[in-house]
Amino acid sequence: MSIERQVNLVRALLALSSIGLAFIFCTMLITLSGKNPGEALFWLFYGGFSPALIPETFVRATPLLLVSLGLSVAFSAKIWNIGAEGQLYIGGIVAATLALYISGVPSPIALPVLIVVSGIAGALWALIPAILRAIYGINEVITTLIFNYIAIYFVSYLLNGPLRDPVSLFPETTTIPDNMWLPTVVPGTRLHFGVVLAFLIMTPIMWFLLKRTALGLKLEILGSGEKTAKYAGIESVRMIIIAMLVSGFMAGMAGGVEVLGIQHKMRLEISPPTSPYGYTGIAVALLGYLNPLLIAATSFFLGGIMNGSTTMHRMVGVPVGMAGIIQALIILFILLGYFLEEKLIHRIIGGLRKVEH
Amino acid sequence: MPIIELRKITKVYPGGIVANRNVDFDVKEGEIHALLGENGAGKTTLMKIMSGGLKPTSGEIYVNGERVNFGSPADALKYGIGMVHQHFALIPSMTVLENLRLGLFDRKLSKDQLIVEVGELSKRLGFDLRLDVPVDALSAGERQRIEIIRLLLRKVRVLIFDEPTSLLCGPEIDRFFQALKQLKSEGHGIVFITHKIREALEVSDRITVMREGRVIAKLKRSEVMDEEQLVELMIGERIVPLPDRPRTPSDKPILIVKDLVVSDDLGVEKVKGVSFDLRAGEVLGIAGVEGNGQRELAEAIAGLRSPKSGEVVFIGENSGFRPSYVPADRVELGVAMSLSVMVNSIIRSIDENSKGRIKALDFAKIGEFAQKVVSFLGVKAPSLGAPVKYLSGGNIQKLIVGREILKSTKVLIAEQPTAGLDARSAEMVRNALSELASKGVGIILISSDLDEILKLSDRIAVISGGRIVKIFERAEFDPKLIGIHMLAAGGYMA
Repeated sequence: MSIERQVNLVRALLALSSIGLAFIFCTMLITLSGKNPGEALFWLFYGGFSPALIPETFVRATPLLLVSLGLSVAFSAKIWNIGAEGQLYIGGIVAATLALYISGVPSPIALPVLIVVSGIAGALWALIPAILRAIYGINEVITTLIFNYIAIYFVSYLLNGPLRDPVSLFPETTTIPDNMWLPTVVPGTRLHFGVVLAFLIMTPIMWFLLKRTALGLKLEILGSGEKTAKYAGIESVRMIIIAMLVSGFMAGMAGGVEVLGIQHKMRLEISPPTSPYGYTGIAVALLGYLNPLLIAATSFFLGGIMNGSTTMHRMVGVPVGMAGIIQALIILFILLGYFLEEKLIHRIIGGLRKVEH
Repeated sequence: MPIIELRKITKVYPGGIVANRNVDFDVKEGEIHALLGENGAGKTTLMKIMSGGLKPTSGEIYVNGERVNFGSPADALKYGIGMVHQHFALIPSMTVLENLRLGLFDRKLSKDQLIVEVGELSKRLGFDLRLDVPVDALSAGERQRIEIIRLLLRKVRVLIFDEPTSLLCGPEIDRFFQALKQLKSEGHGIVFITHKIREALEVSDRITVMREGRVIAKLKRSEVMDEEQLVELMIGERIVPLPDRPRTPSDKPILIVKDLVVSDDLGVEKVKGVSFDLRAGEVLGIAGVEGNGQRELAEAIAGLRSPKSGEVVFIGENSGFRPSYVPADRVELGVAMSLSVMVNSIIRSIDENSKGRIKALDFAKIGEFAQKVVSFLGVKAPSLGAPVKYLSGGNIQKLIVGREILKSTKVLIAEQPTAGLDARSAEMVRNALSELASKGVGIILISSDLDEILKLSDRIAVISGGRIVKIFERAEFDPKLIGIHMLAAGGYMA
């Protein structure tokens, strides 16, 4: 077995055992809260992964996947865009507003335009931090984080003010006309075209971009060190801006797709407050080793956990907060697994080889 | 009784490379113990184990006869064992004094006490440290002295040096040996890792020879008859130097450097108006004490550093032309450590190795080239897909040199191309450079190994204080005269 295979095997085993450990801890917590853990975990899995509810898991995973695919591009270059949440809000508000304006345009033209424009809006929102980082070396973690607050409060202002639906009780836009909705792919479910876009179109594209093109390789080299990148003749300024724009585009598109496919209006809760897409996406990208294929699987898994914990709350009465803690624990344990990974890989492979000698 | 003793040490790296097999080693008080061996023989691994940087897969460590386990270098320091690595562990942006304070950990000294103590240590060893200068403004020799003082402040009894002379040159090496002898007379035990036989013979009391992870011989200095004996032990066969190549450089210049002024990262002018030309098929040696502007000159010609003024013109090439370049700083510049051997073998020609408008990587082509690079100088790697961080320093060097030589090019800048390589690999690199020159490639060779420069070059430009003080034609080569020019007015001796 080649080294790469062995490493992957170790990783897989580690991921599975981390998830196992996380559930053991969850069991303890649920018991502490006075509920029956068996029952609670049953509903957690039922709500996330029972056949009838799988379409909902895909729906939940879609914005998460779009966000984390984009982040994987930035993170490959060690450009830490923490601003996906804000970029998603900007993409969402732009999609909703524009959809109301161009509702007369035939859907086959309008929908692609709306999706792309929401992506561009997200990319533009990432542009200023991108320039600040690329040219002036200003830490993008801080700027993108601050831009999240600006974006969310700005959108909040718009939804409470100029763009507010006059007849709604909530701060949200008017519902967009149904010719602006993304078509449903499987009748009787909420599986909309955005799910197909995320899982079947963008995932392979991003995989190809990162793993099979010169651009992806250059981003990885930049990620391994700016000095090496310079030596390799890579224009880091250009690469940093590309990395930020691609991740902003994907986050903006996630917002747009969520508006056009599910919410059909822009609302402040477009991203679930217990596990916001823009932040959870950071964990998903890292948990998926920045590999789009693994990220797709991770998004699906976490989407299921997100839905399942709501079901668990409803059916067993485990507090919502507890559901959030359980999600966090799962992520935490997987990250812990990564921390141990390097050591374990050394030991296991070293050990295997020692026997051969 | 030895201060420290290693018994039956075996070390297996992830990826299965066995670096040490059943090795016994010890260091006594007041001795200089040379650890001699080719590149990849397992010397550095063994010493990292002795200084707590690595854990052995099996085997035991005894300090003063007592069994110990080192969990970290800090543990080893508590037992008085310290190591000066080949790549210095100093923080470049901090001053010398700040770096010294960082190494103190549990010793509580006020700034004044520290200055006094450093002053005493420097005096005994004959160092003149400038304490308030940031480390990145210092030469390799000065940095090494800081590392020594830092270990002595921790009251170490055993000092381990990994290839300590590889970045030093002539006069600096002598000063280093003086310091070693002083340390020895004060009762310290010293380990001197090297692949240079002459140096091992010059200063050591005992010599342990390693080959392929095993100890081949343990000799007292008095038992060594001649260099040949050690060469045979080290390599197992004699090296045959290739006959000299026919010297037929053309008159046609392919590179013109004119009035070049280059600053370092701190804005200090390091190259102060350098002009020369390079002809096709010529090896132009650049000789000088390290830190006299060689690195900045190389980086400016390679296009990595924009000059303050002056011109670098590649004749017959467009302005984006980038020559092949073997940098001295192989870990930070030359490779992306976390990426594979395969990717690293094309790291400077990514676009040439991709096709179509979307620039898809051409993996067949890349794999083929990587295979060529690996077999060219015999890079030892677990597989082409393995990350470069699993390779030893020497193998990384071979990868970089091989890659830059095999890439079709008209100009090659080779900065310390054989530093840290074992005798056989170094000879292979020199032969490859010779062959490349006879194919018409112009080579700028920057090396602190004057013998190497003398052997390969058609002309030698001596750089001192950021200026080219003289250019010698081959007929005028004279090591002594070149040495004098290296220290000429304006050139500082670090």
